[in-house]
Amino acid sequence: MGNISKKFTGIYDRYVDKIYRFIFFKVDSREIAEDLASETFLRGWREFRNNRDIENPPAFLYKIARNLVTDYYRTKGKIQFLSNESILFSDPRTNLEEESFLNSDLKLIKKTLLQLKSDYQNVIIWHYLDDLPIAEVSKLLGRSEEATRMLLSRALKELKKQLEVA
Amino acid sequence: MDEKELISKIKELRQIKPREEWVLLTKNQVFSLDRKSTFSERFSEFLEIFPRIFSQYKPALVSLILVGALLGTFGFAQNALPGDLLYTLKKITEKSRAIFVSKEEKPKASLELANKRLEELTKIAEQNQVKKLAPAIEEYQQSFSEVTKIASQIKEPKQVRKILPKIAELEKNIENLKSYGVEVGEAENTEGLYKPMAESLIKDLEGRSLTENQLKILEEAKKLYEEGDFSSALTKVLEASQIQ
Repeated sequence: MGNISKKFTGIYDRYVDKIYRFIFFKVDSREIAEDLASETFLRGWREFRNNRDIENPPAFLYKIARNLVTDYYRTKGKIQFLSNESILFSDPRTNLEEESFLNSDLKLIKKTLLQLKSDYQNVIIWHYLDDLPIAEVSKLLGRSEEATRMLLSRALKELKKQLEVA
Repeated sequence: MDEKELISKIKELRQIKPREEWVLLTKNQVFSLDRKSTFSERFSEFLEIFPRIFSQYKPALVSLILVGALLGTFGFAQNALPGDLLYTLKKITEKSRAIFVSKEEKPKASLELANKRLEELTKIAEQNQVKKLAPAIEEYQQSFSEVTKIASQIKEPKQVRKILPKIAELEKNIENLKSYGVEVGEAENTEGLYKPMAESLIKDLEGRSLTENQLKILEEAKKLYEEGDFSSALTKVLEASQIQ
């Protein structure tokens, strides 16, 4: 058991920032990103501890994170809001706190990145923010490396286009 | 901005990081799962240290301690919310109690459970426990589905009258949930109950011999039912059933 937990500690230390940031870009709230990221690692550890043959731990963690984000939005869709004032999920105060260190350019890029479709967001986050090589990103996407490179190129073009319009 | 500049700016978003205290807390939380699972192993080791005379009573002692722990756990479980570790235990306790509920009491008992699920959902919404919302909603939906199933089997007007206060309580809880910005869907609010009950009672009355007055009110009930005003249809059909 000791070896497995040591191994997962290493995975945790290496990916906690990345998983948190990946989720944060999807939900745009520190509180929610923390909750979902905690849950990602809790589930990841449970699976890992049962000695499942997990070949690619980061891919496995990103998959859990993506599923949790999907569930989160599914829940959000089930719940109707009476008015904008009664929004349950996003606390603007915590977002202001987070964003205080970002200059206006970065705030705009972040906001625009949030508006891109999921595949474009993912490929940009994984390759440029998380430094995953194309080979690894292609495995996460379930596409060939060539298709991943093309997707990345289209994602950047789209981001640039949206920034010019903003 | 050219592509190179854009990529450089994107990389600056790496500044977005989690809080250090959250990172440490989560790490501790994740790996505390590991510590809990070895508790039973360590407890056995603890008992082995003592002399033989103690180990003769080990089975009884272990049973006593287990019973004590269980009772304590059951107590704590009653406050558990959907998504909590002890929530399953709470549901098991409820299910075991439900075995002893008579057929006549089932509609009332099922409504009480649905109200309980709504109260849990309200607590979660009040405390903004986002992670628990999805399981809490599902729990409420399941309990409401059970209520609808049971309600559609009610044929006696007196049974309907018996549960009307519980339905009113459910309506009150649904309103209360709204104040936290959460609104249940149409399928899961009380209109969803009135329909099967009104339908069941209308069918039942149609199979009986009725006075002219009863027939007239029954026709009004059917008209309201067709218009989708199920609560009024139910009121009318209850009125018709009361006339001698």
